[in-house]
Amino acid sequence: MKKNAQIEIAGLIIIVVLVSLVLLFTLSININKVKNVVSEQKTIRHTQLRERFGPVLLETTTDCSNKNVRELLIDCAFINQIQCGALDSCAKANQVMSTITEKTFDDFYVFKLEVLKNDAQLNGINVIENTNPPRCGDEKYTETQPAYTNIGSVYGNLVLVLTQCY
Amino acid sequence: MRKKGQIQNMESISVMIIIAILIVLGIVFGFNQRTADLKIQRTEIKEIDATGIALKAGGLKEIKCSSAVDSGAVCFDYYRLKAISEISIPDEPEYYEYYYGLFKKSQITVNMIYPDADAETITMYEYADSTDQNVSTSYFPVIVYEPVTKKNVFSIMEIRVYS
Repeated sequence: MKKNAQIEIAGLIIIVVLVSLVLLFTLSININKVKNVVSEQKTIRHTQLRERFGPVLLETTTDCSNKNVRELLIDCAFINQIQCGALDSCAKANQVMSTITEKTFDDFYVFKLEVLKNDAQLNGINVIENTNPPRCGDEKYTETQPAYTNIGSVYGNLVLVLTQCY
Repeated sequence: MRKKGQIQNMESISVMIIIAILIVLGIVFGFNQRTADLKIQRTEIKEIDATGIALKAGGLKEIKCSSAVDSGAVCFDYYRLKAISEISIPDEPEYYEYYYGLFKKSQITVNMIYPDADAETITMYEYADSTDQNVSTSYFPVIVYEPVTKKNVFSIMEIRVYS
């Protein structure tokens, strides 16, 4: 009688263990699937925004003698002649880029916008990020938009880099 | 002996009830998961639709800028955009049908953001029955060119796709 009861309890334990294993397995598969789908969704939703932002920003006319952002950045990087009231071209470009990014990206869209002159951070132009502290992890996408390209000239290259982080 | 048999029967019935409950829970869990998956897939499809609509809208010759933009950004002429917003409405069935063929159940608005502080919003196309709450929204930066002031305005084209 005692042995029978022991066998029954062992049977129940085996059933419980099997059911738990199946549940754990199913949950882990589903969690992974949901993670992938959410990531894909973010990618689809934000790819166009990321790809089109740079070209549009560079062509935007500012309230500084109708100069566009590209002209301000080129002046800031190589010439230093444009004055926008009390601001020089670098300060004005900073102001315009901050205003536009602030109005374009919501908190859900984590990004970093920077301007590089010959692969180094352009002096006078701030890196714009919408999180403090910055939280750009391993999962990120970078879009590079040339602002000025003239290989062989004394000027060199100027590029706008928008990094989108997840 | 009879009582012992009854207890054993009760045990079997209890085990069967527990197994039945577990099976029902599994089915409910699986069903919920499948429903959630379908919802996510539906949202994804809407977002892909929004991209297609954005490409169509960006390619409309009747609102494109006359001169090409250097960087290849999508550019709309301000006055042409205003004009299309006046004819792509259900009150103008002849034109509305044409634009419905292109944009289906969606709403396309262009929000002009910079340089003007008093930002203007132009509704380029609006689906007649846009009361549906099940909507997916996507955003696409575009330039709106004002030929009179010769300004390129930084704008966001907002596309809402209804189910």
